[in-house]
Amino acid sequence: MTNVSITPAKSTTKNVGFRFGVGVSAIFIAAALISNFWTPYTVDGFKIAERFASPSFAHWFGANHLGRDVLSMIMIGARISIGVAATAIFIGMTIGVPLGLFAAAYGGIVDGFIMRAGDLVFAFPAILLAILIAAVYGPSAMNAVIAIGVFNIPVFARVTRGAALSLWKRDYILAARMADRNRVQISIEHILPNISHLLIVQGTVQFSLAILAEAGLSYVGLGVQSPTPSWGRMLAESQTMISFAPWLVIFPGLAIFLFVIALNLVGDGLNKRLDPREKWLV
Amino acid sequence: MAALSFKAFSLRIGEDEILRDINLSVEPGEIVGLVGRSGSGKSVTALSAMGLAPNRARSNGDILLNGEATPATGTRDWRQIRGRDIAMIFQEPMTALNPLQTIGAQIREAILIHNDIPADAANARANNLLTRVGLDSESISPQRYPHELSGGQRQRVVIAIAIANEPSVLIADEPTTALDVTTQAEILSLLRSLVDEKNIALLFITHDLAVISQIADQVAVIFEGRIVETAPTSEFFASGLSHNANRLIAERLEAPAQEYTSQELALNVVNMVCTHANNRHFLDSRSPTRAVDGVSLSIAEGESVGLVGESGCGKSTLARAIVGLQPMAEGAVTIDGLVLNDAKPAAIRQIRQRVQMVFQDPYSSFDPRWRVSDILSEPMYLFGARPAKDERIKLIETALTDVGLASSDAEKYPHEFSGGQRQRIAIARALITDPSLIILDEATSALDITSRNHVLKLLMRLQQKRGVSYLFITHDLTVIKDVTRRTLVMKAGKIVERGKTSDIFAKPSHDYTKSLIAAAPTIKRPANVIDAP
Repeated sequence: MTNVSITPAKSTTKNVGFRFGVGVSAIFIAAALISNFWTPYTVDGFKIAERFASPSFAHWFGANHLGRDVLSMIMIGARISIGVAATAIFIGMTIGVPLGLFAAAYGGIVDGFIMRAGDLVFAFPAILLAILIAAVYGPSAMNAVIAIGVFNIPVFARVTRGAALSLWKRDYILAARMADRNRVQISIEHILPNISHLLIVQGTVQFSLAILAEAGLSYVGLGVQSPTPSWGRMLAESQTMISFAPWLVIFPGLAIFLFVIALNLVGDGLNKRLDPREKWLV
Repeated sequence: MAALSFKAFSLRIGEDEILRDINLSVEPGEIVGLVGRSGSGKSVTALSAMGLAPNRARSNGDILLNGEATPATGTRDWRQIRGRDIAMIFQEPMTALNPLQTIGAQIREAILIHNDIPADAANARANNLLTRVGLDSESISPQRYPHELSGGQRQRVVIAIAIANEPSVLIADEPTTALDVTTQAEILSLLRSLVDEKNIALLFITHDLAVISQIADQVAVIFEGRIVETAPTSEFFASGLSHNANRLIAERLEAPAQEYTSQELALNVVNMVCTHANNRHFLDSRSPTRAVDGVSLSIAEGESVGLVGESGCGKSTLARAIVGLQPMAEGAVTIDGLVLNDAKPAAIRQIRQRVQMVFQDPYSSFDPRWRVSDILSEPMYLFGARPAKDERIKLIETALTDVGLASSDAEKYPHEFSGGQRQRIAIARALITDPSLIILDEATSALDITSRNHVLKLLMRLQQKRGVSYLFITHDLTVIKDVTRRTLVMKAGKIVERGKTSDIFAKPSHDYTKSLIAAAPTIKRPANVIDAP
C-alpha cells in the first residue's frame, strides 16, 4: 500500500562526476586508438639532441633520457594499458560470471568448491602469480594479462553469485521452474539479464584496478618489455631523474591517476543510472 | 482543539494532483480511520502530516499540529517535532527496525534524541515501554535483535518507539496488514488501550473496512485524493451505507452454488511428509523439521478448496511439493490420474501442464525485463514441442482476454500494470497450458479489497468456463468463506480440521479454528443490515 516514492533531491553535482569520467576516459581511449597509426614522434631509436627536452611546443610533455617524446610514449602506453586491462577483464568475466551463476544455481558442494577455490586465489597477491609466470615463461604483456585476468575470475564469480542468489528467491524463478526450465536455462534467461547492470559496473571498476595492476607489474618489470612504452615502466626508468627532469615522472603518473579516477567515476555513475530500483523512483 | 487537522490541504507532484482539498481533524483520545483503495492518497496524507512528503511535491493549505502550523517540508524544524509531537507506525515491521541494533537500543535512541537524560534512565524508560506494549523484559529481553522476534512482537517494538516520547498524535499506516489475524486483533486492542490511556490522537490508515469498524471512532473515506465522506463509525456502518462506502466494501461475492458431482479427482495427496534439514553437517544430530506432516487431501474436478493457516504452518511447502518444486520425504501426489512421485522428466512436463500456480507477490512474480508476451510464452515449454509463433500469439491473446486484459497488453512490461492487473497476468500465465488445477498461494493477499474481489470473481468465471479446480492457500478467512466449498485448516504441518466451508465457519470444532475465526475482523453492523447469504 505504501508505494509512495520519495525522490532524493536531484543535484547536478553527481552528473558532473559522471561526465568528467566519461570525458577523460574517452580522451584516453581516443589517444590509444590514434596511437595505432599516428604519434607526434616515433618512440624508437636515440635522439641525442632532444635528451631531457623540457615541455615545450615541440614536445608538449617533454622528452626522456633517450630523447623520446613523452606524449607519444603516453599515447602508446594508453594503448598497452587498455589492451592488457580489457583482455584481463574479458578473461575474468567469461570465466568468473559463469562460475558465479553455476555456484548460485546449484548451491551445496558445487557452490562451496567454487567459492573456496576463489578464496584460494584471493589469498595470494597478483604479483606472486606474475612473478611465477615470468620466472617460467619470461616477462611479457601476455603474462600480465593472464596474471590480472586470473585474479579477476573470483571477483566476478563472487559478485555474480551474490546477486544471483538473491534473484533465485524470486517468484518468477519459481514460475520458470514450473515451466520446467532447468537451472542453466533459468540462469541464462532470467538471472544474467537481471544482474547485467551490476556486472557492467563491476567491470568498469575492475577495469580501473587492472590499469593500476598493469602499471604496477610493468613498474617492477613483469609487464610489457622495452622498447614498447608502458606507464609503469616509464615511472620506473625515470625515478632517478626526478630531480632534474620531473616531467618524466609527472606525466605518466598523472595519466595513471586521471584514468583510474575517471573510470571509477564512470563506474559510480553507471551504478546509479543502471540500478533498476532507481527507475521506480522517477 | 484538534490534535491534528488538515485545512484545505492539497498536494501535487508535477502534473498529478495527489491530494485535493483535504479537510480532516483528529481529536485527542480519538481514532480516525482513513480508508481507501491503494493509490487513493492514504499514504501521502500520512507522510504529509509527518513532513515527509516527496521533495518534488507542491502543497497548498495547512496542516495544524496542536493548533500550530507545521514547518515546511524538508526543513530542520521538523526534527524537533517528529517523534516528540507526532510519530508514525509503519506497515512492514520487518523493515521498520534496524536489523543490526537490539530492540532496547532502538527504543533508547528514540528517547535520547528528544531528552537529555542519563543512559540508565533511558534504559529504564525503554524497559517500561516494552512492558507497556506487552513485551515483558522477563520473556523478551531488550538485548534481543529484531530477527529474533515474530512479526507481531516487532510491531509492538515499533509501537513502543512511536510512543517513546508521548506524542500527542500517532499515525498508523496499515499497521496490521502484514500480520496474521490473531496477531492483528492483539495489536488493534493494544492501540486502542494506548489511545485511551494516553489521550493520543490516532490517524489509522487502512484499506480494510472491517478493521476500521472495530477500532475507529470516526471514518473518513478517501477516493482519488479527495475525502468523500466523514462520519462517526456507528453511523457510517449503520445508515444504509452510502454510495462511497459501498464502493469500498464492493459487492459481496456469491458463494458457488453448484454442487460438485464429479467423481474425477483433479488432485489427490496421500500422507505427504516434507522435511527441512536442520543439521549443518553430518555430525550435527539435529533432526529435520517436519514442515508438512502427513497431509492428505483431494480436490475434485471443478472444485474450490481452501487451505487456511498462519504463516509458517507449512502451507507454502505443501503447495510447492504438489507441483514438484519441493522434494517429498513420504507420500504420494496424483494429479489428473498422473503420479508425480518418481515421474520421468517427460512425465513431469505433462503433469506440470495440468497444475499451475499463482504466487503471492505481484511484484516479484515476473521477470522485470520480460514483456508480457514472453512471460506468457514461458509455460509453453511444457508442451514438449514449442508451438509455432502464430499459435503462441493466439494462445497469449486468448489467455489475456480471458482474464480481462487487452491483447495489446502483450507488448508491455510488468511494471506498467497495477497490482491487480499483475495478478491477472499471473492467472493468464497459469491458464496458458489449460491446467485442471491452479494453486493460488496467497494470490489476493497483496491486493486491496476492490481488486481482490475483481480477481476472485474472475477466478470463479474461469472456473465455470473451463472447469478448473482451485486450491486457495491463504491466511485470509474472507477469501475462503466467499469462494470455496470445502476448507482445510492447517497448523504446524498437520491438517487439524476439514469439512464444508459453511460448516467450519458455523461450527468450528478445533480450538485453533475457533481462535482464527474469532480473531478475523468482520464489519460490525446493526442488525437491520444483513449480509447477503
